[in-house]
Amino acid sequence: MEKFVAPGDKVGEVRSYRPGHGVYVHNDILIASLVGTLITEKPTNGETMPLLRVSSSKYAGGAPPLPDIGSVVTAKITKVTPRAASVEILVIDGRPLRELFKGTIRQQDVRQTEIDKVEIYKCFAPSDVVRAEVISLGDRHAYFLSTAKNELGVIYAKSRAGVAMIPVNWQEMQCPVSKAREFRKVAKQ
Amino acid sequence: MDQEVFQKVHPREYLARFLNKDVRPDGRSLTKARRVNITVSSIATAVGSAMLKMGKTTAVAGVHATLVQPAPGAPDQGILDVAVELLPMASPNYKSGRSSEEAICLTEYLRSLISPHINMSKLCVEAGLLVWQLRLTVYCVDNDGNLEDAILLAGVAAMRNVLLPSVRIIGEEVDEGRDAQMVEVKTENEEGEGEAESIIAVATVERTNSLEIDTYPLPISFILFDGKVLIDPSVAEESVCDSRITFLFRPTGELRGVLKPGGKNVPENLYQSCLTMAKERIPKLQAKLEAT
Amino acid sequence: MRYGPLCRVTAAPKPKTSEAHKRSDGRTGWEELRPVFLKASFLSSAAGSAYFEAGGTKVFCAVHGPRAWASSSIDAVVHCEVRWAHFSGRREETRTAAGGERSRPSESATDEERELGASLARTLGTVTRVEMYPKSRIEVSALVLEDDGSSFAAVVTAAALAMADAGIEMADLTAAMTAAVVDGNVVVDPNAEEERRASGTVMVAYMGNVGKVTDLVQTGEMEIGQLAHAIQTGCQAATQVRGLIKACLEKQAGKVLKKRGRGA
Repeated sequence: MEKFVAPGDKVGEVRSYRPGHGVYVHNDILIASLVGTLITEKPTNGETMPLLRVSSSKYAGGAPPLPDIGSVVTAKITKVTPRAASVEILVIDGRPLRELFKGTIRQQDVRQTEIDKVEIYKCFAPSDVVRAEVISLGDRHAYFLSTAKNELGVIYAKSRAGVAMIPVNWQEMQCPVSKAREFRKVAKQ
Repeated sequence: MDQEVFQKVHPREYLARFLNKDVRPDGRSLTKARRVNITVSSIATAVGSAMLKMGKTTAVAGVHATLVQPAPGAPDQGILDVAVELLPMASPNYKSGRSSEEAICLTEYLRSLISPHINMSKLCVEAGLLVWQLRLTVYCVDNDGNLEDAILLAGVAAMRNVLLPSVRIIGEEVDEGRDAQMVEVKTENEEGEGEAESIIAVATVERTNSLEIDTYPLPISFILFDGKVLIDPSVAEESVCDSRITFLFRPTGELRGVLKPGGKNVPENLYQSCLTMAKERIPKLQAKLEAT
Repeated sequence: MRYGPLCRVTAAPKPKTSEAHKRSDGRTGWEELRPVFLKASFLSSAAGSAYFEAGGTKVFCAVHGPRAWASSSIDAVVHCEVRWAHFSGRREETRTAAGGERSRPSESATDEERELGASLARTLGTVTRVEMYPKSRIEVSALVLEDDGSSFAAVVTAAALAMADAGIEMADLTAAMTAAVVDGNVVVDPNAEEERRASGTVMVAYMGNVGKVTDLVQTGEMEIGQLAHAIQTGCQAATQVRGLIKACLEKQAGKVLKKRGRGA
């Protein structure tokens, strides 16, 4: 049985249910805060009560996407300095963003090993597309991102000839036309 | 990579991939303009109004009328003011607050194309005493591209929809009953001092006087992308285009102007094919406007 | 329709005392609402949008965001811009009061519009679960196309629908309603003509299911008993409108599901 709910609709009581995504508790009553279908999830191991959540009607994952700690993002490099690379976040957990969010990949967050020897300009270049993970909400201006995992790093880069390059190893990419190699922190496919 | 994600990351390549198959991301062919829908007279507080949808692009135009004293240099000429407003609701890129450069450019574009077709002496009530001041405002509420065409068509439709009441200047206030409305216009003293006098007029509730606009501009825009031309671009297409070109026609089908603001050069053969496509579309647009 | 900065309507329809509870627009009860029309998701470029019509009053509203916002507070900020179209029939009255003026080429918001924008932001900020959207700003933009009375209440209602449509988490669906004292009677959802004749008005924004008032603005004069009655009937009417907002969202959700079904 699918039940349509809207913000403000009472969906249950705290003695019989736990609140999930899109549900809040007010005066021991569970109330929906999103538009969508009410879903009851059977208690998983360790839990005694079923969970109530709202599956939003318009967005696959519920509310509009917003970067959160642990989210995997696709981002475009906009600026490279000796200490950090600045990016524009384009996609979060596979969902394209409508709005512009800025991120920073700091020197210490580029790779796992030899952190102090990282040379940012040998890892990223402006207009590269990278896969990264959100590690903190960052400062006032940008989210802090990390590429310090094998599967994270540059996923698309153009050579000086303007052609998409092919990864050679985890720190080099090659232009298929000029055969010139360029340094990047390459993501493992 | 998912389509939506690919578009976000590589907008140019995304569009190129579609165009190579002679189709556009929204399913149109390169030569297919979006459906235009115009409804008029839906705003009762305006003397003329039009709501225009061109695909998802939506503009609302309305005309507000005020009785004023004419300008000293033109005692028998009415006044037309034009404004285009790009509201934050229309696009994530529009910010609230003061008018953007884009809004100011569109306002000038609309004013320069509409003003010549309005007979200002038709707006005169009594020379030297009282004229109509019309204010045409076009609000863009949804920008899915080709605002230039949408705003101009909405503006033309609203002006063609204008109906003004009959006005008569009277000496003193009299109760004209339910069919009329009293209007009192303060006159400005030459020296700006002394006792202000006022003109008392009476306007009929029924509005029957049209501006009789028989000729007006009809726009058709194209963009150039990688050597291909696309009619009636969407906002995603506009954002990656190389240049833009707008043809302006008379309702009779004669070309009266071409606008090409910057961008890459348009080769002669592409220019000609744009012109051919545009000429085909004009009668359809004209019919839409005449039907309102 | 108004034509001059100092115009007076002498042909104002007069209330008919012979017919009890008959209102100038033909309604027969003091608490009767005008016909309402609601539509969600009608603008393509916004995260959520709404069209709301009550009688002659017509409002567009759109929500953008949450978008990145450098702010000292971790919670989301709600920002609102409310505009009355130049031809809506309202601006002129407020402008004349501020000193008659000739037209400007392009206009910025009036002081009243700014104040009402801030007021809407406070209401939405209260009902939104702002803690869910850290470091961001939710932007609401509303345009009153035609003002035939109770227009700010219409803006609040349209904004609530647009926020819900955008998938923003809220404590409840807020709806707002105006009540006015006209010729000694408390009338709900007054039209422009009734608003002009009213000795006092009160606008109440109400969360119908949670049972809380989020905004209350009273202007003019009212007896205390009338005020209490106006608030109560206003809240009841707002609860009625909440039902319509929910029905509109359900219809929209059905459309989305159908579309998805076809796509699959």
